[in-house]
Amino acid sequence: MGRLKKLIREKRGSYSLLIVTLTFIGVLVVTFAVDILYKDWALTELQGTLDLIGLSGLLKGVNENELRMERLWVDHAIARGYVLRTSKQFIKVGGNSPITYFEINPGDIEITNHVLHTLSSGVTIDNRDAWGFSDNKKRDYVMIRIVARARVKQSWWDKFPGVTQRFYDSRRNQHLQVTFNGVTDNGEAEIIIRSVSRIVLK
Amino acid sequence: MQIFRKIHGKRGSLVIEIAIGIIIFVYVLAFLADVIVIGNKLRTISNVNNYLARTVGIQGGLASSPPSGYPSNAYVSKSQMIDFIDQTFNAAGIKSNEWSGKINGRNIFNDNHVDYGFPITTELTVNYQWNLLKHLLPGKWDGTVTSKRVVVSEFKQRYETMIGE
Repeated sequence: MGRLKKLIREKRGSYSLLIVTLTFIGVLVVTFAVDILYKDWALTELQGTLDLIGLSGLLKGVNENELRMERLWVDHAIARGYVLRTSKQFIKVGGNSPITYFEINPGDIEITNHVLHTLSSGVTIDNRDAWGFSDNKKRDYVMIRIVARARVKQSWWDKFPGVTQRFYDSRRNQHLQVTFNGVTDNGEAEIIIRSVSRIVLK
Repeated sequence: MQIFRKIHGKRGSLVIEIAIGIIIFVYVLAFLADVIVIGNKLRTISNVNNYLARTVGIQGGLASSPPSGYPSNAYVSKSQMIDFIDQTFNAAGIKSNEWSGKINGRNIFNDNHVDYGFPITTELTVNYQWNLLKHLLPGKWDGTVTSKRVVVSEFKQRYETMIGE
């Protein structure tokens, strides 16, 4: 008992222990900061890129004959194909890029028409509304919503097996939950990006 | 003999250990400060490139004067865009000689016109430094980052004068 008490009260080496602890905490903080920097950069870049690719996809899909007659109509297949093709070609994966994996499922690209449209049968459908317009006037517009999944290089702070994120869809006034499963300690963190763009006929 | 006694002596070791602790603390603090500054720069680059790409897409390029048929009061000229980028970057701590831009692989200082429906790629490259760490630790503390975007031109360029009947 006496020897145990003596061991507990022993002060020799206590400050070396402090230095080692401080060094260890310093390394943790440094690696945490670097991982945050990589993740933030990847998220910001992917968000900006996808927003513009979505918009360009809609523009590519515009039916020009309809446009000449002042009607807005977008071919969904052309728009979707452009988004999938361009994102695959343009977004750099691997090498020097912090992004190690990127995917958009075709089913995660949703295109909705909010236009005045006359069917071949002569029936007219009016899906227009004034959502997002400050003058509250109804206009023709087409929206594209894209959900993409990516993995970003991490050093030590890959402790979560995937990510689940809740997004708010202000157009529909509802929440949407997206999950991306992954593994811990493989040096990659999962992120989800949601992009919403639209083109408006003025 | 006296030297051996000095080396093995424990007196004064606390001061040395506290000094080492303070040095480690200062390095970590300097690193964190640099990370915050660089993170802000990266976010600024990304946002500026969003604006550059969207503007260039809408007006079908970037030139000293608007193309024929484009409303001149709505056109962002090359000098206006470069001034905007420069001022925004300066505010984020990126100097004028630390950034460069390209549109479709050509320098942003050249006139660029892209016809309707064709792709336009914009690139902004910035050189940055770990400003505090470079003074504390030896080695190369420089880095380069490039932000890229791709858009589609929305403006139909006019190439001929149409002579009516």
